[in-house]
Amino acid sequence: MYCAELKTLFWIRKQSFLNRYMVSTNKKKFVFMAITTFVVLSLILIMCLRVLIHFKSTPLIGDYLSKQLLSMVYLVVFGMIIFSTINTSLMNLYISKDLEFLHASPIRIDSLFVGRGIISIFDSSWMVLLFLVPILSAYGIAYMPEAHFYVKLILLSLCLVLIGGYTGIIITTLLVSALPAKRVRDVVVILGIVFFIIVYLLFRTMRPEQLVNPDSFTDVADYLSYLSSPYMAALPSRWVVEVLWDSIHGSGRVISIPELLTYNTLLLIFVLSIILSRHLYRLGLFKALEGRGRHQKAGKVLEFLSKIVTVPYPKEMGSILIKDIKLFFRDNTQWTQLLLLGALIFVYIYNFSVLPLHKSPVRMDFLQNTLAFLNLGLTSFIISALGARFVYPSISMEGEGFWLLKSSPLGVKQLVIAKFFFHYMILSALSLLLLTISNVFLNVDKSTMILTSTTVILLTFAIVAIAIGFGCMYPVFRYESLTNVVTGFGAFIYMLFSSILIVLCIVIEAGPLYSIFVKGIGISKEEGVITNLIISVLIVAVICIGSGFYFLRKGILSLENIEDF
Amino acid sequence: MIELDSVTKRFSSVVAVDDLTLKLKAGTLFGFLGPNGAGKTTTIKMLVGIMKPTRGRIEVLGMDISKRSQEVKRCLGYIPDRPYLYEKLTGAEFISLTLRLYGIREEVSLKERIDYYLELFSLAEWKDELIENYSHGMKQRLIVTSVLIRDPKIIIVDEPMVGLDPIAVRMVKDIFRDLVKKGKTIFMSTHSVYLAEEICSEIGLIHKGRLVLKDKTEEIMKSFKEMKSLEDIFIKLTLG
Ligand SMILES: Nc1ncnc2c1ncn2[C@@H]1O[C@H](COP(=O)(O)OP(=O)(O)OP(=O)(O)O)[C@@H](O)[C@H]1O
Ligand SMILES: [Mg+2]
Repeated sequence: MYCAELKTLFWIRKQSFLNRYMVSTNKKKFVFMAITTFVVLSLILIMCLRVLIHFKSTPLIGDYLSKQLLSMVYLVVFGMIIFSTINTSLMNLYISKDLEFLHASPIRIDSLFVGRGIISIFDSSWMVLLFLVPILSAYGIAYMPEAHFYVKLILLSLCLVLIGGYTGIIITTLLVSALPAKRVRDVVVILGIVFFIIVYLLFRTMRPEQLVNPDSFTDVADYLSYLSSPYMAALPSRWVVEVLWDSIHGSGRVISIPELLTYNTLLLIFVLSIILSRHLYRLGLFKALEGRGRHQKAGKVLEFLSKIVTVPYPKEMGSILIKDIKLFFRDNTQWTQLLLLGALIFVYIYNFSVLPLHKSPVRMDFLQNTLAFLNLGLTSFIISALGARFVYPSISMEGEGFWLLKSSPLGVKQLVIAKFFFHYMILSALSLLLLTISNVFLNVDKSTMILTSTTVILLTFAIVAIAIGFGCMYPVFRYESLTNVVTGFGAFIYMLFSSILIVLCIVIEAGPLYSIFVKGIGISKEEGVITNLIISVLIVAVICIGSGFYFLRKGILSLENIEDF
Repeated sequence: MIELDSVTKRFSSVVAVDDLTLKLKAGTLFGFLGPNGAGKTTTIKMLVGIMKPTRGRIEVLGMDISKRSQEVKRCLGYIPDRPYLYEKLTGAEFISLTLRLYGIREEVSLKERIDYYLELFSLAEWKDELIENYSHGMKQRLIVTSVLIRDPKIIIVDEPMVGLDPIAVRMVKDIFRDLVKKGKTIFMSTHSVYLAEEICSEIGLIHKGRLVLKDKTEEIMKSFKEMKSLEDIFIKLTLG
């Protein structure tokens, strides 16, 4: 009976996946995605392999370093699975639109909990596991362990995923049951704050700035062993690595204590979650479904603020933007992302402020300028990630209300242009802010400042335009949550294109810039260095503006022709 | 007013609308009847400019919709069959959004109009609530309200009565009759033969994408004397 019900739940999932991706129009996309993923994974494999071979040839600490690396990887995997399962299980177990339908059907609530739980764990872990494959293969190739290593590898990794996943589910269940019905959907707010703290702590405990400090750099092992301090020993990810490391060296054919611990923990946590489901899930589900009723009040502050922000736009365009702003701030899953963003930016800038530059063995000004340039790249990548999260879905966000816009006299073109400028203003201000603050901490000279600022503004133009363009070309108007949009095919190509663009522009500017640094400290007095630089900036400008307009136009054209929404 | 000239719409394998030609004069309340999947919604979507016909031409107010869509859309009021709205806006905000989209200023006289219609459809006390808290029928009422406030020359409605309670149905019927008297044109798709018979001055019947019947309501009733009701005519024409 239970089996049949679980099967049904998985079937719904499988079928909607197949129907989405296996229809002829999407098959090409699928193949393209598969190939790109394969290339990326191969690159990771090669990189890991090189690192491991280097470690292996390092006497004394090499073996230790490889082990530490592996435990770091597993720690990250474990953490990511816990946190993304909190998210996916909240969606799958409490919020998803079809729950009302399922709940009205005779399906048992236990099956719903277990089935949707497994789906949540799958959702949150498959990507992480996919990236784990090349890393572990690199270990396999570098160390050539016996077959039992692989058996343990698969078994224990699976256990780790399930332990992490069920931990996440238990956390969600407890959170939901602790909140009053009206607030269940606000769990995401709490999660946003939790994410903030976690990201902050993770970065701070890793102390990345120590890597440029020669005093601590003399002993990388110290740094790494700091990361594996005793409190980590209580984590399942650590046990798994212990077992794998014994096994990679040929021992560990018998079951060791860490291995037993892992199995027992899994059993314990699974039983715990079932007990919880009996008592809490039923109540939580009722609460969540009930919480769909009226609860939110529309505030007046937002009304006022959004009107001010949109003053520079023509009336009709402005009305769209006012609506967008309101929708954004009234949707808890949306604005809470700003918390995470805030955390990232804070950590980013903070790291620059604590860089012990004067201690670095490299020449000061050279290091500064190189870092400033690196900073330009990082900032652009941050902007492009923000584009993926906030700009790209802005077209799809019209959702099933798109009929209103399409049947109104406001043209698609104006809609797209309004959205473009709105996001461009915000993101270019943000990119300038990030860049300038970190440049001030780096104490770079004026010319570098001007150069990087100009470039970042140009790049932001192109990035936002590409995001909007692909958002128009691959709109998803029917979705469960915006996550479906953000992880879709269009988002993927957008990331690909914008990354290529960023790398291209940086490569174009890197050459002339390098000669400037050299000239600045008096080694070269070559004429024409400045001209070269100006030319390279001009080329970058042409590329950015040209590609920006191209993708915007393409997007508008394709959105105008869309009828299926 | 509205002119469709051999309009065809084809989705990869299905022909949803097949060579449809139709002409409506101002002041007509046109009832567009047809069984499920006949192509009513598709026709309406082409009429309001959210879909492009595969073949054929559509003229509204003498303007070709594919060429001057913006001007045409300004004069149209569209009420879709499924009331999907912005869940996180309030009713009042939604109305003000539609007004701004259609380039209409919110003057004092308009404010009165808004209040009048909100009151009429019993939405006044709900206007500052988020739409996600509305029931299906209330969403439908809100869309109807937002269209009526704009006072468009032509109203195009897809299944207007689905989800509405009897009071609202009566209200919409009265309002539609009244508007038509004032010279507005209404294009209404419906399943309900009774509704069509009751209020429509002209009726068209679409079946498998083809227009099988179109005439003044009285004329139809006259020419099918042997039938007792429009329902019988509907069933005869669509079943055999
Ligand atoms: N976007 C689309 N893609 C493919 N086929 C479609 C699409 N929209 C409609 N169709 C098909 O066109 C035909 C007519 O559909 P339409 O929605 O116009 O019917 P309808 O008369 O409004 O029906 P109902 O009374 O159920 O509302 C159907 O066969 C439908 O499957
Ligand atoms: Mg229909």
